[in-house]
Amino acid sequence: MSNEKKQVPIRQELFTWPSDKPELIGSKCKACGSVAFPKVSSCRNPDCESDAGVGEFLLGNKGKLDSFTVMYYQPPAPWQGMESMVPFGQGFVEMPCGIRVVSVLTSNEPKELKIGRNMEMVVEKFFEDEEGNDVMCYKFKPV
Amino acid sequence: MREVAIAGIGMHRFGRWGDKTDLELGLDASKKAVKDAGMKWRDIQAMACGKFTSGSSEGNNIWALGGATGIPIVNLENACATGGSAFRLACQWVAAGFYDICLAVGMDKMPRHFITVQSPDKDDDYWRWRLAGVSNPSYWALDCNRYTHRHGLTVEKMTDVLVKIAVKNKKNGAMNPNAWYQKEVTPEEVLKSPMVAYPIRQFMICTPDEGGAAVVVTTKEIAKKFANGRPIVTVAAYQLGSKFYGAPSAEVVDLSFNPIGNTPSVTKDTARRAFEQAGIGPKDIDMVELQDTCAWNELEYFEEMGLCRPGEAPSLIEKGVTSLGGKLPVNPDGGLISKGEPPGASQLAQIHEVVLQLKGNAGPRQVEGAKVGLCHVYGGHGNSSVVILKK
Repeated sequence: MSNEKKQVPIRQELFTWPSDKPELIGSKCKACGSVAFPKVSSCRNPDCESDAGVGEFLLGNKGKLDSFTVMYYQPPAPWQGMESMVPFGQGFVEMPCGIRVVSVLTSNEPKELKIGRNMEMVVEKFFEDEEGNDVMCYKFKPV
Repeated sequence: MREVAIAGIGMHRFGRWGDKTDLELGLDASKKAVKDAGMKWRDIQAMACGKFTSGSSEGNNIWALGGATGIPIVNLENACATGGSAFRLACQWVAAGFYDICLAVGMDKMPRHFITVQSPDKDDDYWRWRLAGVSNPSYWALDCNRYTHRHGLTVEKMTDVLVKIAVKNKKNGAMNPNAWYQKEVTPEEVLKSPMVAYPIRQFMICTPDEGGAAVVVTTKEIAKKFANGRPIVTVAAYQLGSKFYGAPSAEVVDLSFNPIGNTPSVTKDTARRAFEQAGIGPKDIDMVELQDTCAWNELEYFEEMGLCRPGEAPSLIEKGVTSLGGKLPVNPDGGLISKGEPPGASQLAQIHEVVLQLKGNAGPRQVEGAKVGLCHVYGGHGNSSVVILKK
């Protein structure tokens, strides 16, 4: 069926998709090992003088909550998230390699969002695009 | 390098000004600053003009409105450090001996609501909104909640401190004819204002607005000549910084960060360099103007600049140390919480306040005996400027 509803990622090469166990996609310097997210085309470490380049690096789908907040207003464009998402949690999530990523959280309840608790990545619908596709993005969920 | 002094200050009240253009705001502040210096328009030898929102050669437009005299003009943008960057450039020109008398001016007419994407490029500023809807208050709240956790505080305790800061700044603003909001609020009103980014509420946050401010800088010798025996204010430090790879937290617009060792925050490092340039330490400061984009930021930057020990700010604030009459008053002009923020003018307005204070011209909000004042701004992409002024 050509009019079947598709799930499309909000940005290419941001997370592995489609997947039952999606992971964030970053990059890692082939010389100094510095990790970046989202992936970059050259190393951002100012002390790295190498031209070795960067390779794709999967950050995994589990982390720890570094901090959180709850956003009570619908953010302005280019945010397009559904109004039904508000209020929503936002967090810094520490991934096993040490990098902290900024993410929407599945919970907006401060009692659930204890700093240091384990978090798992999920991919959920943020909004519907003009063609009727579900536009998908990563979120982190307390586990 | 030559010692730099303030010759004159001027400010157009911050607020909402309807059809009045940002050029008119900048022109008004510039004319006041030249007049305050006791100088003529033609005495200005170079101009640095800061404006955050898009435009083209706005400084040239202002100069033409006041009377074009062929002087070199540089127009610049540096997020919330835009006005501070214009000031620093003017100071550098005088210090290096390029010019003897320079004007730094900044102005903006900011759109209402959250400050959103500025660049046409799909940069981090675009993606932070697109992927996570992280507003500037979201970043502040994320750092605030981490601090609360690390220092073993409860959110209720932190909220008490934030309320105290908001009430203090609104009280100071009520005494400042150049502030947008000139009305005191009660703790109950702050607590009843809508939650924006947990635990930060609307009355704890500064609002983008419209305004202009200008400063004439010159050499100490020329300033003395024009002062006719009145006290002069010198510029002891003018430092600018930007974010570090490996910084301890995200700067506004970042989608990730990767703390490394003891990498400093930009505010900490810029303040350190300012103290070094001034040859003084945090204990020598009598009053502070700092970037209270929300009440939490006042606490955060007070600590980061070394004005107290880490973890000490909440109890000092509760004791009234940062209130007028306290040992180290912060934002006696009401801060951004009372003035609102046109980023082009913001730090120039802080300098305006410190000059009034050091000269003893601050009226009911006077900090008694103030001899040394510090101005700090911080903004998107980690732009930070720290200025120290001395009597």
